[in-house]
Amino acid sequence: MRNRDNKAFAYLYDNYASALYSIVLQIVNDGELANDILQEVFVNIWRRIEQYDMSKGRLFTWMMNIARNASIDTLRSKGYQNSRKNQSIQDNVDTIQVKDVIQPGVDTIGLRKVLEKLKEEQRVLIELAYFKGYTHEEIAELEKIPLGTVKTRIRNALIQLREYLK
Amino acid sequence: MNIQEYISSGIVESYVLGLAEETERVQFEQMCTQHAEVRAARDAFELSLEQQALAGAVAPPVQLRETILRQLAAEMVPEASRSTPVVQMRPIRRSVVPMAMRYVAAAAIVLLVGSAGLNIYYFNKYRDYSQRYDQLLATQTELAKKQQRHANPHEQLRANHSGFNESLYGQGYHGR
Repeated sequence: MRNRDNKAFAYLYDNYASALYSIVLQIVNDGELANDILQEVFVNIWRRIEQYDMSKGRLFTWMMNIARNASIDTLRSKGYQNSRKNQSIQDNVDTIQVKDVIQPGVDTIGLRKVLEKLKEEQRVLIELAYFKGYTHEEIAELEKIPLGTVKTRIRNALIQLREYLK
Repeated sequence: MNIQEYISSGIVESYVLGLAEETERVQFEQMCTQHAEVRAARDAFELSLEQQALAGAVAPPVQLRETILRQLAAEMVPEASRSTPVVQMRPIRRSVVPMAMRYVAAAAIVLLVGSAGLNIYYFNKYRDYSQRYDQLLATQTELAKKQQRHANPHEQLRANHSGFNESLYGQGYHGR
């Protein structure tokens, strides 16, 4: 795969595209957008495969973080936010309802499903940190809670997540 | 903090999910190389996360597979051309004259046009002055002639006078 063999990537796609697609969907909650991001994710995997270090973790974890970063970057990019603004002017509240119909299962897949089991205060922090990509400092400011509390709550939430994932 | 406490602090999950800060990340990677237990805990969490993701997998649209694999194949093309020897590109020149010479030529043309302009200007001036000089010369000659005409009567008078004295003297001398 490090030699960028096309067959190896076809194998990779067949085995992991769906899992990665669900990670993208959990973050962007938009099928059309998720298609574009998944394409970007595979291009990134292709380009950066040499940077993958087996000693630092599993290949899937590495790909999963590429998928998460690409999704968050897209959400945070100016172009996307502008298109969202335009959309909300045109379609107003209807868009949100239509989306809920198209993507009914986002809350029932992957980490989001486990997230449901957390306490509200923990869920909010994981939502902001993992799914929105905010730093601990940004969260402290946003939620108006001390930085130390943010860190402790996130750590505790993660420990619980691990238990639910077992 | 002992290893077990470190493992159960939430750092494993924080690192694997990409939520750890830079210093925590560096420390965790170091701990992994030093302690098999930390590594084992990391592997275990990664595996459960992967299983969770595979269980909750959502199939992307079927045609996306073709699009993505075709794009990856296209990514391969520049990769291949990079390994082949690169032929140095030469800029296309319309003439073989070097750039410096072109500047010299341009400067020469500017100087030529400028000097031609000055030539015309000074020639006109020369013609003007030459005409004025001729006029002055003519005036001067005329004046000189006039002056001569004025001067001549005196001269004649003087000549007459001296002639008259001479004749008187001669006459007187002769008369004596």
